[in-house]
Amino acid sequence: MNTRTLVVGDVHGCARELQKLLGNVQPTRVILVGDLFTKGPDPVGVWNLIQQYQMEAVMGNHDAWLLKIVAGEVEPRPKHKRIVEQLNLRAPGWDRWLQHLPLFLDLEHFTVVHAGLHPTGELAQTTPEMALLMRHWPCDNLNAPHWHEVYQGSKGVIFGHDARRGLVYVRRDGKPHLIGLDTGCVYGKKLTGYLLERDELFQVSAAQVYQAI
Amino acid sequence: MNIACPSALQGQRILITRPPEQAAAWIAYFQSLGASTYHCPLIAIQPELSSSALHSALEQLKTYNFLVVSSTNTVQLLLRALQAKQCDPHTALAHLRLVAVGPQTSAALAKATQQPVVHPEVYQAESLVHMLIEMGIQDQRLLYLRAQGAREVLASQLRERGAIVDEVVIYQTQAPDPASLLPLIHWLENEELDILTFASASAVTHFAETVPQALWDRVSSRLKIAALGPITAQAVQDKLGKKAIVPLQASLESLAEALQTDLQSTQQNAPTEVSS
Repeated sequence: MNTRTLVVGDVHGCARELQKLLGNVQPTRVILVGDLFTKGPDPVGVWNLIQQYQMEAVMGNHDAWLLKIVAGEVEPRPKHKRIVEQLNLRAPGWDRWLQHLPLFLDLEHFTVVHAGLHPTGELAQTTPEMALLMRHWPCDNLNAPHWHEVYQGSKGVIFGHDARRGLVYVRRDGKPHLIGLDTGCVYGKKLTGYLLERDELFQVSAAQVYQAI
Repeated sequence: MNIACPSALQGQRILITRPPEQAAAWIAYFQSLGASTYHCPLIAIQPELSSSALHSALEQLKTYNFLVVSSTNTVQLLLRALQAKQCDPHTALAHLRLVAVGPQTSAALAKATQQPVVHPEVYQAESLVHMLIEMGIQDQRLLYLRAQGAREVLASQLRERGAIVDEVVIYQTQAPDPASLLPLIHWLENEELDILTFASASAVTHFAETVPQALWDRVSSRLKIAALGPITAQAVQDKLGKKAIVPLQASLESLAEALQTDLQSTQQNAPTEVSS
């Protein structure tokens, strides 16, 4: 069977939509761009699918936050505390798996990252804050262009983290180059997956609005 | 279910800057391609139909060999001036060789006169000069109807080639009332536009004078700009610091096609909606 690599945008606990996407696309390899368990209705369901499909992922800012809670580094808000308790009870091993997630995943033509890369594309110049949180460049200027609008790296990037900006699909030199997959499923919009070998996008509409954007 | 994507302009938010009388066709066409249109005229037309120069030229129409018109505004105002003199355009212009600067102007004049109108392939005065020289203008009398402030290269180069040229200003272009430009600022501030379109260098100038530099610096990187011809594109480069998309022909259809080609090469990959 030919390899079918599906890179999926921010899932945020939307297991139902993720299952629907996987069922339709039938991937042989699944990579998640991070922000896996928080905000949405079914973090345990997402964990079950991660195990079932032996998914890979990069770390998202919400994933990093859950790890800080587990490590006792921050005082959790009630909603995050509930998620951690649910996962501890019904998803054994979830935290060890999460701890080992990388900030970047290197594919042949793309780097997968949750938020963004330094505009040069150099991973050595990309700080963890950029990888987990960046939307604009310069990072701290909300009126500045989106980082991917000034990105000059030669390697393509697949990312999430920016539901307000929504789907990004930019080709360069006739090839897909910048692909932003956070299309706000948890906010009642869509869950998006990118089938790498086919250069094809798939979307599932959210069953409902789980949280206001 | 596949999401239908009949046009790369589907869902694009396009600013139309032409005056209302020309904007209607642009709005309808872009909307037919699935785009959302935002209209803010950046040119106001001030007719100059009572000038003695125009009156004199129309009185002597029989003495001219060529009529050259520079825009669809020129055509509309010429027709109004002829109507005021109770002249039928078909009869009054029948002896003239009719020349227009671009295909839309050509089509407007041809429709009004039911006569053939020629225009150059490229929407630029230099191309028009070249075409007229090939048509043979030595000792020929040309009536050139144009806007105030239009480039003077045409008349001067034709005179150098032996033509007798009467230039008559038939309208002025002005900046619109500042209050009418407030929606444009609002749309830019709220990032409600994807594409700006310009059909003249004057419109670009008025845009640059209207939009604060800080706002332009903030929003310009995510906007595409399309210019109807190379002179307008040069104005976009000079005044706004961006490279404009320029169609092969100075027509609405060609402009839309150039935009679609650009969008297809940069941004389009319609997602497949998973429904079951």
